Amino acid sequence: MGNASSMLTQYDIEEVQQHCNHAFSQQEIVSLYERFCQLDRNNGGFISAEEFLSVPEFAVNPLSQRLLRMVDGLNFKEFVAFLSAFSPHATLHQKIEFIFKVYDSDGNGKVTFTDMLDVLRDLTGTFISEKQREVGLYFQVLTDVLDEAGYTKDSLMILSDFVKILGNSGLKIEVEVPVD
Amino acid sequence: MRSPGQLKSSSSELDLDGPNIEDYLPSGSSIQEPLGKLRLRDLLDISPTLTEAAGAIVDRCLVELICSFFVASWTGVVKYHGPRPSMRPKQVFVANHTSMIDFIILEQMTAFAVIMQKHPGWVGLLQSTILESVGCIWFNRSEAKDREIVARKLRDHVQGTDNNPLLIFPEGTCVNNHYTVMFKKGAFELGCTVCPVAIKYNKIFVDAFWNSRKQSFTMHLLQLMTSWAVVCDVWYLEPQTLRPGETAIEFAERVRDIISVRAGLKKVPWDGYLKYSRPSPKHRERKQQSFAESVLRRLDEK
Repeated sequence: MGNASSMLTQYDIEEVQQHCNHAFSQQEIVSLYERFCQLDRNNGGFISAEEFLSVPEFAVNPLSQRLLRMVDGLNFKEFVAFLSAFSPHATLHQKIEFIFKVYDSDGNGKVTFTDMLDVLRDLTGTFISEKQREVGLYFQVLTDVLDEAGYTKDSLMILSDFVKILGNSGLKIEVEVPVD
Repeated sequence: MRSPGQLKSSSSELDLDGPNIEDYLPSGSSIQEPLGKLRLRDLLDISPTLTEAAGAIVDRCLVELICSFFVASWTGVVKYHGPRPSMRPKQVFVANHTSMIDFIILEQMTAFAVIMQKHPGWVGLLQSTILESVGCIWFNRSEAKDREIVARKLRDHVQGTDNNPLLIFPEGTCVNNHYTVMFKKGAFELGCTVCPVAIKYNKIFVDAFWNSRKQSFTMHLLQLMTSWAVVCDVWYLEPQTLRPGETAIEFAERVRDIISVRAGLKKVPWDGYLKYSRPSPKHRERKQQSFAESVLRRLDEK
């Protein structure tokens, strides 16, 4: 497969490390670079949506479309920054912020009732929503839990709301970067 | 130079016939299902799904081409289990495929004829000299017409009584030794008894080989050989025949299941060439369905 790290200079590694706030070690960055090159089949310097979808486990993931919007066309430095939320060194706040960005598909810093309903639909697919009764069910469920938490369906959530709601839960978003 | 204390295989002494599953299976994430009343934070917390997606991006490729050297003697480093089926006509052997040495390992016990894709370069040269002597059927995967010729050759070979038993690797390509990919159905349509063979490499050997770039394969192999480590386990499993009403594909999956369970390998629902195609929507639907069910279940706990 070739020695990919010879194409990545020490300077590059340090620059990437800076950019992701030291979320990953230098060895992990080299490993990620090898993986990046493996995915970037046509050597465009970025991984296209097609190339991401060629990873089967990614393609079957219900949130793949949302993630693709965030990750499509990123260069390596940005790719590593994107993944930094998944580092064990990432703070809880960073992880919550990542989740917020997944919900906030138009990137305006606000998450609406519709955004939340959409994610719920992504996760459950057409398995249930075809039946009219169940479509109403998710609507109702979301309204109820929001109400219980002190929000309404017209509430526009911002990041600090998410921090409040998710702050105490045992949130675990972590991947291990395989290192030689 | 014998040092039996070093580098023991991970199978415990008591369980000589099965692998230590915990050692072999990759540490997967088990999505913990929370209990109790459904709250907003539960609905918003999509972390398990995100972790899976990121894991998929970061984990290395399942399928890699690796080459190997022919080693003169493998005695003492390969453990064979189970009675080897007696040689009969109309019988084929199928095994999971991790590396080129799979064939060599199996060849130690039985003279097989093998169907293999001819690799380019010096590996192809090695194949020509060593494997041709045992009767190998070569094919070129990219040649469509080749498939018919190969199918005919296969059928002729298994009918014959004097030929070496045929060994087929139905995955079609080398696969990381934690998984099996879908078996191609060709081996299961020959109207023969299928004898499954499971090959599982010692984790130390596999990990070091797949991940290491610091050591050349030869050096690594030499090291292992001289330390008398068990390199791999081979299990000969009960011969299977096509059941009434079973299709070739179902038969293939059934045998893959038998091999995967024996060797502690995880089955994945796609084939070795999925680089160029997409998994069908039903895989995603299955995930969505189980998520939906878990949400609905928790609603009842209100």
